[in-house]
Amino acid sequence: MKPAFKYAVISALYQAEEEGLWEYEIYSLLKDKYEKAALCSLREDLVGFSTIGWLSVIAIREYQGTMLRKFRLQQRHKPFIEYHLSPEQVLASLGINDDPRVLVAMGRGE
Amino acid sequence: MEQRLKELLDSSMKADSSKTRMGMIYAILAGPALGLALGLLGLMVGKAPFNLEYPTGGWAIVEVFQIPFALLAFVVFALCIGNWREIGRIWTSRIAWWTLFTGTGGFLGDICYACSVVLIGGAVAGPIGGLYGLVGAVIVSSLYKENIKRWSTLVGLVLTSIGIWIVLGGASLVSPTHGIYMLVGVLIIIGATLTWGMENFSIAAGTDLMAPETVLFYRLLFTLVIGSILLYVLFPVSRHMAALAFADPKLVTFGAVIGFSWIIWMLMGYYMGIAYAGGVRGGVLAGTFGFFFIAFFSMTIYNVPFSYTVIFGSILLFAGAALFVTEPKELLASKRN
Repeated sequence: MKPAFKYAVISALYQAEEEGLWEYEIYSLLKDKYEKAALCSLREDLVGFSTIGWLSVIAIREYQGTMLRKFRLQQRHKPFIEYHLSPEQVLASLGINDDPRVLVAMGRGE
Repeated sequence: MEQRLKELLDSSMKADSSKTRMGMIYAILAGPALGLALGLLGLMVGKAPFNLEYPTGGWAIVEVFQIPFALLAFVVFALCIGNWREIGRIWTSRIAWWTLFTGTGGFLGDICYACSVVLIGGAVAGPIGGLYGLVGAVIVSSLYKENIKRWSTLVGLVLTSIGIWIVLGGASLVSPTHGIYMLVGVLIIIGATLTWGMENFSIAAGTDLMAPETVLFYRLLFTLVIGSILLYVLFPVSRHMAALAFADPKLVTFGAVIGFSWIIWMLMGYYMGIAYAGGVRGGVLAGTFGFFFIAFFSMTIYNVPFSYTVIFGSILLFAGAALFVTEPKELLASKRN
């Protein structure tokens, strides 16, 4: 059984630590793992998470008239996420074992 | 470039706040659906076969009709929008147990409401039941440190208390029972507001990390399973009631109306309202508007004697709740930080 989509998003950000992840990096990390119905809610979920204080937006940038955001999991939530989501396990069950940024870079062919 | 980014940031902030407003509008628009469902429930509890046992007949309607039909409608909805897979997926992590907490709160509230409506009628149980939104708001704001201490909150509380006092005054006219029975009925519905208030808070907390639809699915499932076991084991008469109810096609149709319209409110007004607009705004609006319509429909289309006092009191409750959620210039954004 795959973990819920929101779990996967938070787990990836947990793994990325202080660096944070761009929205499109999270997308490229998860796009082969989830079906369209789940992936469609990615932006809404991320903005929602930052609205209610789980994530902070650490950088923004424009790309063809759209705003791209870089997110970081807020430090104070780490112990909670660690215990309640078991992020390593979530990522392992999706086949994402390493640092997600490395995988993202590989996916982009860098 | 900087200027352009600033514009984008502004429009993004506006989009965020319009989502909050959308949640509030959902919560308001779904109100009549709840009035239709629970008003009809209030009418049916007094009729055969649900009057075989007193006052648990109402609980039998919840378990026999309301929840099964709601669950059916919900499953169809989840299949249509395509995120039914998420329902099973939440169990890979510990936090999924939170749904049990949400489910139990909601389920106890439902039972309390159904029993109370037998004793004091929908016209009175409705407006008082709607206070669960305020209870939830107080729990959410204290746990999340959302600041609700403003002058408008205070005025809102005063209006709400006056409203309740007036509704209870009118209650003696429209309530089917009087004296000690009515008092017990009022105490039970106050119990419902407390457990629903806990549900309200746990939706707000649970939908942070789980989609509102998944939380709602387990809320319905737990209510069906735990509630049915308790009902059929502890109250043997209810087995007989269920058999009689399902033998009558007209009752089944009424039951479907209750289940289907209740789930519209649950999904749109309550769970999505809270997930979009937060536990304070979504919860308070869904509660007061929905429950006002129970009182209103009960006294207009469902044959409870009409009382201007109850309507006037409900309007005051309404106004009080509205003051709770007014904050025109502030965003929900970063409030929980």
